[in-house]
Amino acid sequence: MKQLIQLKINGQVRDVAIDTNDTLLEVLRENLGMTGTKEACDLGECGACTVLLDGRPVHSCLTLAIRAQGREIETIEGLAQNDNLHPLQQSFVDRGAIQCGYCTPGMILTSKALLDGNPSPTEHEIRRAISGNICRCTGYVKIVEAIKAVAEKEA
Amino acid sequence: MRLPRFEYSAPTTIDEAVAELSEYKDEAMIIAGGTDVIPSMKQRRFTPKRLVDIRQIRGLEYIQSNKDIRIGSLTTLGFIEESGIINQRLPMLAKAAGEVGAPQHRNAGTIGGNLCLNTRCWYFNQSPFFRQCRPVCYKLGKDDDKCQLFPTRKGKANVCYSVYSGDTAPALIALGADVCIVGPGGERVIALMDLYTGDGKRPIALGFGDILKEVIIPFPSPLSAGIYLKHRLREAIDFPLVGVAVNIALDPKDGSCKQLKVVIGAVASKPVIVAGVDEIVQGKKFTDQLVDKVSSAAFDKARPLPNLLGCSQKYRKNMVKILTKRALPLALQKLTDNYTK
Repeated sequence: MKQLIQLKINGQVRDVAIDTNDTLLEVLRENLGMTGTKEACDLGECGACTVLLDGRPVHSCLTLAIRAQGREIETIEGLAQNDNLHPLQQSFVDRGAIQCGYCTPGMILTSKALLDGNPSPTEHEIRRAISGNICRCTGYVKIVEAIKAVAEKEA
Repeated sequence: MRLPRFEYSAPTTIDEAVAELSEYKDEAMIIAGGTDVIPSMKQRRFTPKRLVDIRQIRGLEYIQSNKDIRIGSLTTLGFIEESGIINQRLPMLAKAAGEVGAPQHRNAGTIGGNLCLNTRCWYFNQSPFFRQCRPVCYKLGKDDDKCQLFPTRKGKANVCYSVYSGDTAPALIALGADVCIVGPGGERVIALMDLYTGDGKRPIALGFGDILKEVIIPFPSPLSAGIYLKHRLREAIDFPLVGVAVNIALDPKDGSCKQLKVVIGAVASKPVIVAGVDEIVQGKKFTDQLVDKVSSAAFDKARPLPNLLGCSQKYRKNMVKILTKRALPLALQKLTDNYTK
């Protein structure tokens, strides 16, 4: 039986009817049509489905939607302000840190969480922070450069 | 893949959770961080009728430091990794917690869940698609199903050889940790090592209704240092192929070795304590020869089986020796660094 819950996504409270066995990823993509969050391995190994829960990156494919009630959920759709991309998004575009684009939402959210807590990370810290996000185009060098550029600009 | 259907309940006190778990017995499973349970359910290894979410229980997320250090079982691994107290007093634990999975796992996964991690095996940890054309293994099936690592082995009682792959357990055992368990009969404190049965089919010694409440770690002596080294295919995400935790305590009088603990992870269905290393080193100063002796003892004690993908059992056994050999000088270096500070 479906039950009605409220989820706070990108600052907006949304009512959704869910089953207990729905993951947050399924609710975002299928109930709310927010397909920016990607589904890849669906087993918590690749990081494509990363969203921020209370500011920290987690796998939305391993999070039961029912357990995300009352927490701040941030997805890639919440980053850009109107037509202005978030500095991280712009930097990824400028530096060609996007190839097929499938890992990009997860990469950007993970790096946003990193920069929110640590505005000037070392390269090692950046690599460690995105270690749970797999880019199968193997474009890691440009991704690290893009994150570094934002950190340097803001510092 | 969608999760199977289940009933969901979220008790807010330990007593409620214990009552519910005792009522549903093997039809219920606990979910804390969910990073191990959810993939297992997606792949239909477990299809519990009821999922009891203990995350809503208040007051199990803490790190206290009074007479000893106590960590609530719902404390996330990410919190432990970054905790000031843990980094200062138990750096080995902070490192071990930081080696688990990926940052996303550590933000959701809890220390209690990591300690109660189910054992793994390349045959067991597979998709329904893989399993549909193969026999059911002993761990997944009934008591008369065969272990599929050695399906033709005859005349022996069935044994499950799956591997315990937790990272924090070897480190905590080397630190001499205890765990507090709440169950239908009340609270009890046992040594962490006793949480592990060594039986791959039922690796964790928790009965129906038991919940791990906290981890209790004695303050390490000032002249001691430990280190946890994890070997895996990639630098992140993966479970260990081998993990080695060493903890050395020196005698303040002459700098000779007072106590040494070596614990190996991911070579058996429970963490393995290398017995007898104390006798090898006690009262002696560390030399290269002594390090060799200790790592040989660890090598002898480790009996990995061909149950993980990625490398041979021989390689894993050899890596036990190499990791121990690397860990001991690193721990000693840490000790001298602390001492000169």
